Amino acid sequence: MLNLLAAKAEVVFGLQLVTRHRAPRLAALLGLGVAALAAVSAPSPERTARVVLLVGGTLAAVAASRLLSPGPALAAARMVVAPWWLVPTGRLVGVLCVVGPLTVGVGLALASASPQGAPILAPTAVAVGFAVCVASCTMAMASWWGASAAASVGFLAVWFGGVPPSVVGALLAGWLPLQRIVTWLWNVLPLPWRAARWLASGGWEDALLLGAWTLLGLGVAAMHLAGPRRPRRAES
Amino acid sequence: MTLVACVGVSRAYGSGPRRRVALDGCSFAAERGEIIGVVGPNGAGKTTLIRLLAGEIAPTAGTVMVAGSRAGTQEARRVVGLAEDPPLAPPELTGLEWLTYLASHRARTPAQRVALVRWAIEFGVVAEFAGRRMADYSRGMAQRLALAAAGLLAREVLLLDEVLSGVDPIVARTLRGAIAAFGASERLVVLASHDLSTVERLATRVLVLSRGRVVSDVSTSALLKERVAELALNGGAMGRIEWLLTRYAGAARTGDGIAIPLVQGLTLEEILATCRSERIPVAATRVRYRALEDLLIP
Repeated sequence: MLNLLAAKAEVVFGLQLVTRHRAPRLAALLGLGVAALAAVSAPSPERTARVVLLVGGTLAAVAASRLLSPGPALAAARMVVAPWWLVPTGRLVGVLCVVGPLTVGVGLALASASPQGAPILAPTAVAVGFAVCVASCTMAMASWWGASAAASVGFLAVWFGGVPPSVVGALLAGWLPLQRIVTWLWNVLPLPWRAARWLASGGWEDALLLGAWTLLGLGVAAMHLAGPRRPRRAES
Repeated sequence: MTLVACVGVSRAYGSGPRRRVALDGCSFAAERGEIIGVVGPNGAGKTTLIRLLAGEIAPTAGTVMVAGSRAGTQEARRVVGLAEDPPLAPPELTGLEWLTYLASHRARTPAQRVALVRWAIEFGVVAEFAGRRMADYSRGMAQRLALAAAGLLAREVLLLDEVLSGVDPIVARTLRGAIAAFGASERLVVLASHDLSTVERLATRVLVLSRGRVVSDVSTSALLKERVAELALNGGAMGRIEWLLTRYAGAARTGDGIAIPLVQGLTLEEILATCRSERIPVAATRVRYRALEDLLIP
């Protein structure tokens, strides 16, 4: 039976881990700075969507890296006895309580600043969905690699992953084996170009892939919590 | 009823030439109502034993059972609370938030959660600093909170690893009382410590570990009833200590002589008579009760 008190405790714990650490606060500052710069340059609807995706993804990557990082956060998850899915899901919801409103707020601000009257609902909904996917994958990575490494990978993926695979393929035209591997990875990983395509085309293929990565991230994080394994000490 | 049972438990770290055996064929069982003290020198395997019981690590051989389930399973973890030094708790949270988080996983209703948190605050004597962030805690404060958290989670088995070492003497006395009451309430406490006086005062039974093996498993009350004769020898007689060590089983060197356990009807007078007949001059004698230290120092 689901213990509602435990579920609520995980959400609140996730929220506390994120809001009381300097890294997510710095990421929020960076995101708001980017949004402010975009807002003063009278953004087009496409640019608005890109910036909202960038802000949501960046916040999600940095914030979610704290959720199951080796040290107290992971130790806390292993101290309590809960259904395998409850801890990662609850903490992910906690991150969303921070990332969701900020992403929606940035979307609203940019849409009101856009002279062509950019749409609000679709870009922010896609950005929140993309942020959930990024957060889930970063959380899973953090439990294995540590918070700093996971946040860095997530951050770089969000900032450079907006480039479509065709452009990446053209860039690596001279190095055939590398081109194949990188293009394949670019097509498979949950990168911002896919979220942007989802927003533009509205097809289910991109949404399904992002959904699959979200579930995979949750599964890997839950798997890491199962079984006897000593939590390592925290990073600084 | 047996709450904890270890059968032929071994645990090694590393592999190949770097393999190090921390626990080697350890077997013991513990009942409800007991307080088991685990003592031994550094590297004896005390912390490894505690972590095995908590299910944080798995044994490389043997079985560890807690409340009828294999250690580390959900059923076993549900009844165990672990406090260790240094404690692992999120520094961003206050003590109260941390206890509330843990209590939420045990309680079924908000009222039950509040009651659990109140009990834990009292158990660990943390009321005066529970509202402060854990990042600002001293070592003793963090250990008291770890004890409170472990007590909150421990339905049946409380595992304590050096948890009183940084606590001030006044609070330590209160905490010893709380731990004793916990053990007396038909639950089990396993206390690993270098502080022999704390173990002597609290434990009903003592396991002495040395190089990963259980070298002694004795009842504290029986141990502390035994008496020891300490003989201070003159400088010239120090060379005869080896003879005395082989003559009396369980005898051990002291700083200025030898300590001989008065067991199996042996008396101080008999020892002095032997010394006289062997022309071993004795400078002074003292009879005292045996202490845990006698088990640890061969």
